[in-house]
Amino acid sequence: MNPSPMQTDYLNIETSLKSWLLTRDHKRIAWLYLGAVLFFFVIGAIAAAMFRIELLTPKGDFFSPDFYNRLFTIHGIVMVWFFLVPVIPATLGNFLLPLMIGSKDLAFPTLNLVSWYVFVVGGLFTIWTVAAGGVDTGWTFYTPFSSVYSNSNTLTAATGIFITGFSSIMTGINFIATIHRMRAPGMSWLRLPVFVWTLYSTSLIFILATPVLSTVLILLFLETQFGMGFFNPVLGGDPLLFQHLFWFYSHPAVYIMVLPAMGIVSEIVPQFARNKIFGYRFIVGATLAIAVIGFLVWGHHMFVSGQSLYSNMIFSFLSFVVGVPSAIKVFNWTATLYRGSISFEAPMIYALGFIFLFTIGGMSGLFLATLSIDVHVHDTYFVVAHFHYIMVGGSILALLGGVHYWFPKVTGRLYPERLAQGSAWLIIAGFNFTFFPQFILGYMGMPRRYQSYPDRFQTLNVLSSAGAFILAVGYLLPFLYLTWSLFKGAKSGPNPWNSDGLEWQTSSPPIKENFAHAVTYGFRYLTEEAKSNGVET
Amino acid sequence: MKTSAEREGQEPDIPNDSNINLGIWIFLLTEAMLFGALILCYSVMRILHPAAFNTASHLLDWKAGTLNTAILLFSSFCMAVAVRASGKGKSKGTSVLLLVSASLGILFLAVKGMEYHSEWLKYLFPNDEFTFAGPDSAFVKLFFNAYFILTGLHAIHLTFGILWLSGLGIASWVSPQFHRRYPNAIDCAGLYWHFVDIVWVFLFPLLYLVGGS
Amino acid sequence: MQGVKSDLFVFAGLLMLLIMTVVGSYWPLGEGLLIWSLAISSLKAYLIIRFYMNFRAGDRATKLFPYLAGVGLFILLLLVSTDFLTR
Repeated sequence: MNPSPMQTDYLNIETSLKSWLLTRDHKRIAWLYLGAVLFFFVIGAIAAAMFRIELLTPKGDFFSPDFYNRLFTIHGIVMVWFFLVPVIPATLGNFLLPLMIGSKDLAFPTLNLVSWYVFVVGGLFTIWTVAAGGVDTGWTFYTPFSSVYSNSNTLTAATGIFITGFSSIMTGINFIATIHRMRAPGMSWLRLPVFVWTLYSTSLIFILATPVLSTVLILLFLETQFGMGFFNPVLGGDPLLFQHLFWFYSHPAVYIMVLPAMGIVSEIVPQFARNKIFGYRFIVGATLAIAVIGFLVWGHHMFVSGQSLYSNMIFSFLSFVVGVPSAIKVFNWTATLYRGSISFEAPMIYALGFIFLFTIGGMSGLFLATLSIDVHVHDTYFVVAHFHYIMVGGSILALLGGVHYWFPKVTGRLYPERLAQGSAWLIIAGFNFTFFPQFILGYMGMPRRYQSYPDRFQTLNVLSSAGAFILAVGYLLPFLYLTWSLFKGAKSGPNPWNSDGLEWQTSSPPIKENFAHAVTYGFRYLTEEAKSNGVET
Repeated sequence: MKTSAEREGQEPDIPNDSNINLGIWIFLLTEAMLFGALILCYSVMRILHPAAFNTASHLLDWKAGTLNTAILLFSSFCMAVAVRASGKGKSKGTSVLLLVSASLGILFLAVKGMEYHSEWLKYLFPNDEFTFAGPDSAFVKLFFNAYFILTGLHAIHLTFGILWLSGLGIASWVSPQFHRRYPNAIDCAGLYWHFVDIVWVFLFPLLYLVGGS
Repeated sequence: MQGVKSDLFVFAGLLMLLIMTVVGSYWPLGEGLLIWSLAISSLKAYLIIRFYMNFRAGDRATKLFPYLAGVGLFILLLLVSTDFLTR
């Protein structure tokens, strides 16, 4: 990648290892994070491949039951904390946020770098956990099994997650301060890209929820190491106290995973439908509403754990309420398509796939919010299908869409469009083959976290495992062609999509300072927006 | 106070009262949630075992607790004046006030240490040697678990604060231009210090004054 | 300095509130003691935040966060206690 003298950008301005590992540039830190989360994604994916192979046959014939427990546990821990929670905010978010608001960098660039190192240290503890044989408690670490009876590496796993939590908090503080204080003149709140609003809401969740996770992990440590007793009924404690504290974080955590994904979709759909987003203020309001209401629903994970009936009813009702803002967003995206001029490049395929699959996943959530249904499908594959529709069919599709959409911005190169479109369809197909059968399996009564199952469930399990194989191939393709394109792809020019977004108004890849001149946003929007809204800048 | 037009587009990583000050307030929110979750745990245990917690609370030395609360409140006063002095450029005065605040923090830790010691001697520390001659000793042990965790975590935070204030105090004494180069440093330390004080202000009645005298 | 006088008043107020907390524990309040002492603690916290932490001098952004902390804590305490109190 030898630039001509005029084309110095953030990538080639300095190339030493030290310039990468000690960088304060948010764009490079995004790459550092990308490397780290991809590494963990592979670990989580290998664990999934292994248990999907086990599930080809009704009997537990490949692994011992204990090892099977360790497989799904590490899959959950790694995929949740070391992939899904950080991926969009710390990669695309880190890269794009200053560009989208017209700033040189985040508010606290050094803190940004520190957050990556903290993430890596937390990750090292996880690697240690895996090397030491893993954990067998499920990613939810329920007590008293995890604190009293388990013989596995609960504490190293908990320590890794505890440390990584600080990385989330640092990112949250950084993003919030940046969005409040570093917006270019003219970039008022109600002109912010929806992606920025979702990063803001996600950051609010980071700072409010993660500390509670820190607390519960400290308590788990004390409980396990010193037999404290808060979560142990024999000593006067209550296991549900653990669950309350755990889910107070872990439910908002799923909104951390999905809100930035929705933000990406909100950028892609208008672009490829060539329409302004429908109902911008409602989308913003819905984003904030999801963040807030998302804090009020955690008890729906505990409907059958022994919570009081009144709590069950309150949480069930609130869980229905939280579906409303998500639905508003789906309606707004759909309305954005109406009378648009739609094209189906890879990002758009991913975004439309998101809308479809997220809707299914979200609606299955309503089933789960219904007490009378949840009693039957809790801890079955129905739940597994529900959250994978949202996390994979939703977040991962959006991530891939965003990666493709902004690939020219980040690298200055184009990816191969036909191959990307084919891969997108392959992923969507593989995903549905993997997870739709699981809705049926759960409804039929197959419990989750079980290594063996009755013979009548085999066909659907084989279908699911076959789908997983297709999905794996689908994931591999972008990894290969995007890496190829990084070095050999055609040059994209600054704005291949001809987008109006502020991030596209600078070079691709951007220079280290992002914009060659100080940014004042909006003069050419001033007239249109002022006409339609009467809004003052 | 800057207008939003002036504040927008500011340079990163230059000491800037707007950005770092905001960053500290957000950080304090995370600390509030951390302690809040612990206090919740304590509250739930108290709801489950009201009699035992009442009994256990009476085993604490409320005079020491009251003294400690007064010590921290006074240190907050000194810290507030230190921030004023720093704003007025009085570096030696700032330094003295910071070091006095830090010393009061050390005094707090000393009193707390003496309490811990006497509780240890009475076998109230919740390890295997815990002994309580009375009913519900398991639940009384739960109280002491909560007590040591809550006050222990608070003490750790206080220790960080003491180190922070001491460092600033020394820097202020040694370098008269310190506050000019780092105008936010003392203000931010002050915010943290006051927060640690507020945590104690809640812990004191919650732990020491259950059920009255 | 005008400012120091106000800080001194606040300190005096905080000390008085501390005395009232302890005195209250001698009164036959029963369960009400918890409400009494938490109310006083909240008042002390308010004084510290308002005067010592210069809450008023902050802008809209800075002020948001103490409120947000209050809301977050309120939700946590309310919804968890509801479970344990209605078993």
